[in-house]
Amino acid sequence: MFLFYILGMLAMTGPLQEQQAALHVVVEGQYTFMASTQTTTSEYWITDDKTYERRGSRVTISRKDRGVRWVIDTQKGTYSETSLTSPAKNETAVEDIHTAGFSYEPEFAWTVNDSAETSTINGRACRLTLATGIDDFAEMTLKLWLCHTDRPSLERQANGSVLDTARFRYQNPVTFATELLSKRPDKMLMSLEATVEPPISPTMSHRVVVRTIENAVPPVGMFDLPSGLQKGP
Amino acid sequence: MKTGETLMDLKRVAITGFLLLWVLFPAVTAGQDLKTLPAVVMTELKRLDETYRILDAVSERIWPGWKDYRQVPFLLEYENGIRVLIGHPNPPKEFQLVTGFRVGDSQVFADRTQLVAKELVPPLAAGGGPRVFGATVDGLSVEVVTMEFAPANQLDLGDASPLPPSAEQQILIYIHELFHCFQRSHLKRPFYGNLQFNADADYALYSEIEGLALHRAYLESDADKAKALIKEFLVARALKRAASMSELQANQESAAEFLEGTADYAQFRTLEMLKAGRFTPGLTAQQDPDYGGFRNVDLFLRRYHDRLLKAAADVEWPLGKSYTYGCFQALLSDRLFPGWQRSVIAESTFIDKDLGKRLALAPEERSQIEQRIRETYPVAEIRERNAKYLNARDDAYRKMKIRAGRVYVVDFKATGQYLSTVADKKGSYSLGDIQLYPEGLGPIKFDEVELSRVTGPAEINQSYYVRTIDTRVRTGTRPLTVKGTKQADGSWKNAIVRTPLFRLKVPHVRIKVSGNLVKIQVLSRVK
Repeated sequence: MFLFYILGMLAMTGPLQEQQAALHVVVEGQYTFMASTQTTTSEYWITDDKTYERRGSRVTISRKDRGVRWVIDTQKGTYSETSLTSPAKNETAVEDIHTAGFSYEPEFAWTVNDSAETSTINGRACRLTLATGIDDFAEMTLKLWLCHTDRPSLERQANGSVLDTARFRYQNPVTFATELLSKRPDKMLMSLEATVEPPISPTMSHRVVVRTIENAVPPVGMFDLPSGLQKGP
Repeated sequence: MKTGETLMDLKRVAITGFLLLWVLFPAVTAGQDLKTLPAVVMTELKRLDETYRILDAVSERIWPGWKDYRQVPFLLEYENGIRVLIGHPNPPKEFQLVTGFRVGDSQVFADRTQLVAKELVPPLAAGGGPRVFGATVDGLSVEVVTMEFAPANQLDLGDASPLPPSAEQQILIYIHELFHCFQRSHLKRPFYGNLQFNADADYALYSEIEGLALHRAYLESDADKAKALIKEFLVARALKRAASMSELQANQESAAEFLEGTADYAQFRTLEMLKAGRFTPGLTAQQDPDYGGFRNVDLFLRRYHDRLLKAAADVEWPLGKSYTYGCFQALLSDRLFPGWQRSVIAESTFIDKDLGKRLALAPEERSQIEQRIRETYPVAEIRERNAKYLNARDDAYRKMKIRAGRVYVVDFKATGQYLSTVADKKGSYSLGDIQLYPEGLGPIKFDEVELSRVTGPAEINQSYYVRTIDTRVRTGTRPLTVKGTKQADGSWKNAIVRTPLFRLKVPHVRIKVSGNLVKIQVLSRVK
């Protein structure tokens, strides 16, 4: 089915067009839980208003210019479409007693320590920032390797890819790391290691590292919905 | 494990700690392969072997195609830290081969790297379930049945008056978990997520009527009358869902009844077949004094009826109803609708939906049944009884939620001790994953850990945590005092922690303070 998807993409190409360069990022993530380590590789192509992400048989294309996101299952040859416009938050929502007390989402109190530890990752000079988060029923440590970039406005677009590939169980560390990175405008996130102690389950650990980061011309039609896909639920 | 049992008092043998340290610790530190396992563990392995023998005799008559149970790895976890892995294709490196013993055709491995000086005193019992543990040499995740052993009186099977612990009960639990593995590999259903639902007055009323109707239907020998009672179950269900549940929650409920109900059904059918047939036990009373070879099958069969009625009247744990409700729907389908298993699988549906299709109701008949429900079930009595609990629960939740001040959390996760099994439930209310104690929490004691009564509102949350709030904190006051032996890593051994709201005596503890949060992590259950 993946071949079908590729053919569909090729069919989109049509006459050669001048392609704009995009940030091309390949990120490797490792998730270890219950003595089992799962490795995933994610590929991203990022421009100011378009993002392509491939992880296994799942491709996500976000088009800010069209206000739409497509999630494609390349194995099944299906896709779904959602709007990028986020619904307005209902600030006055009343808690439903039917579901009260079930979901726990930690609000970690974070302590940040910019360590002296340095490393070279992908040829970049990097320094370790260590953060520890504590909440009532969960704890977390986050090691962020922040690296020098000559092209911050371009390469810092990869920060979201690194955090996304970690696939944290909770949203709080993503929000925290995003805010922390916004305060270091000349650095990019090249790698992270995280340990999560959730309330009940055993310890979870995450390792993410950028394997490729380059400015390159994406394949033609990369940000378009391939033809021949079935619209799924 | 969920329990309504009162405080457990472990009967410790005074010299146990020394003996275990002397016997086990040098071996661990020397990295030697101990050839033997504790006697209580060896007995459990024999019970698992007996489980296979029983399933060899009954499994394909319970559900066609159920025959790969011997291929499912098991992970047994004990409170002294020992972990035993059976039949894993690629055991993690901390597991060493136990020579000279196999379960079925499977090798046995043990991890002794986390041993503590705690004696395993039988009778023990375990709950658990399938989960991923480790990977094959090719990196594929391996699903194992994980069983967590604790003193047998901590295991709640939903009985109003529990039976004495027995090997039979544990074997039935193994059958339940093995059937879950069969479901996951062969009986895949639409997945809607776990039912996370708190009862309200309408739910409590109609779900109790559902349970009573199922019970009446099961006892009814006339098939037509039994079908009429199942229709009452279906109408009560429709009323319940219309009043209280979303479509997703309704589907989650049906899915849970299929998952847990058919696993309980596998237990029940096993018992029926053992009663009807001539099973020759492979495990003797000499090898396992708590095993009677299923001679008293009726004793176990009766429990399912008791559990159904207890679950029907329960307002604390809606998900808990799925075990018996699903089981009795399956048993009734067996009797009234032969071939129901094929139909449920072929149409990828659930048991209640299959029953609804077979017993379709016209609107007029539905109205008549609604009227009959009002007349033949104790509707007013049920409403009154449940309102008392539910109103008090909601009131406690609202009042506790707005409390502010210094937050104390006692974290027992490192000990693996489920607090619901050692805390008195008296005066408490269950909401979601929280057990609310608006008038304070009684003392908790297990092994060498003692938590005094917590004065003021407190909660047990997320299975392992006691949380309470000191609302009368004055600026600059110390949150606690600790007496004990401070360790290089900042933790304390043989400590007594005092706070304004409770006192904690503990073999090993770490204290973390962050803003208004005081987190007291109990690191060990024994010295």
